[in-house]
Amino acid sequence: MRRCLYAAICVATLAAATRPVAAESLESGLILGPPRAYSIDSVTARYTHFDQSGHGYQSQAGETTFPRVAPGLPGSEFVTVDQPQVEIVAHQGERLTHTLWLPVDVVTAASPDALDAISTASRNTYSTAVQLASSYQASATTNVGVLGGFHLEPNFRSWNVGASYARSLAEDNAVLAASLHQVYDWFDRFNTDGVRNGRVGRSSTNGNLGLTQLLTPTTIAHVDYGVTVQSGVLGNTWNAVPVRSANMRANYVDVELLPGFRQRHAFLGRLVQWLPWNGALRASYRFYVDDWGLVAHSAEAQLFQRLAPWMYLRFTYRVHQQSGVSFYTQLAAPQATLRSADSDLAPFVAQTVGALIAFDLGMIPKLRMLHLEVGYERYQRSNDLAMNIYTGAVGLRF
Amino acid sequence: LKPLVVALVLACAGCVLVPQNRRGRLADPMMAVGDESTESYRKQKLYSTREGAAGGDGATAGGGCGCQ
Repeated sequence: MRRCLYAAICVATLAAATRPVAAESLESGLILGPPRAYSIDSVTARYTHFDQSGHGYQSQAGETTFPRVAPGLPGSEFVTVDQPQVEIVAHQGERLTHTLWLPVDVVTAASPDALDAISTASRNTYSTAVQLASSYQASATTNVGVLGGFHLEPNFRSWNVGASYARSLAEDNAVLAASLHQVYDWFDRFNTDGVRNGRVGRSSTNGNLGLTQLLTPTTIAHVDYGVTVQSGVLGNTWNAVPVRSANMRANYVDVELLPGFRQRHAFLGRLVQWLPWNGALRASYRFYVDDWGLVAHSAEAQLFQRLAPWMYLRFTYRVHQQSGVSFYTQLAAPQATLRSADSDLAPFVAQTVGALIAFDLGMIPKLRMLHLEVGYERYQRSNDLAMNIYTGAVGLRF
Repeated sequence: LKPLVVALVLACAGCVLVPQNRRGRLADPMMAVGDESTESYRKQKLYSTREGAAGGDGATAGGGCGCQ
């Protein structure tokens, strides 16, 4: 009797082992088909135009960038930048994702800070970069990635590599992420008269640690800390500094003198909240401190309002206040060992206001979604610099 | 540092498990924690070249351009 029972169990087990082929296949393979070896998920193209005007003591440029201003007076910081970008995201198999990114900057009056004050040779220039990032979904909760890229522009080369790790916790209610980046820049050294003096380099090493946490079904919080350590030549080498004459004659212009090392810390906190009237609020605060004596606070609020299932508006306001580096000056003492008149390193308050409209259109053949957006921002600094920014993007989601 | 520590403590105090079937609002593009990547680069380009206080949010604070 026992033998018969045992044999029956064995037969039933074998039958169960061979039977489920059809049932399991129905769950994925037969319905969705075999996974594609390579597929493009999205293609995004963005075009941005920056139109900057203002004055700074590091610049020697006249109003039309040539000839240069008299020593000791702030020069023009006029510059326009046209910046097209393309980003392609693709899947290779089920676990590997590649992101290829190509930005190009076409710059008019690239060097109003010096070179164009003595020569118009670099009045129109360009830069381009290529970066490939690949991430691997190692498990349901763990993602690891690597990236590499290079940046080219006249008299400047840069290479970057990086690695990232992300782990989701508590049923995807929290994500802990860490990343490490290394950038090496190699560029020509010029003096304030535009004379080339060989090549120099600088290294930037950066580490980040971030945590994203769901607080409620309509609230997300994010905190992040980043540290960057830089060494080498930490300026563009041609920034001018007005220097007081030692013998009480006319002041003159000389090169910027910067430390060869900089340690920079940035802390960020962000909250995203769904609003009951079909809107959302994204608010963030960033605190920055470095060993050059610069302390900065930045706060930003973005208010989203959905007007239709396929259209929303975004309003942006940002305020940034920084103390300036300890050796910032508009007229340096002749014996100063560190000096900079760069208006970007000065104490100032900057405000950004902007608006954007976005469309997410479905029902298009061969596309999951077509994303369109167009926006405008105005950036205004308290130390005589302003910028108009026009941007537009087209995104194809497959 | 104090505001950051306070924000972190408040965030941790609010940690709850939100089940998958209650995350519908979070899927809306308006609820993204960060900017879309080309938009993020556009903003970084502006702020890292015109302010002396770049970095944070996963980005390096300098290098890669002819500025600082």
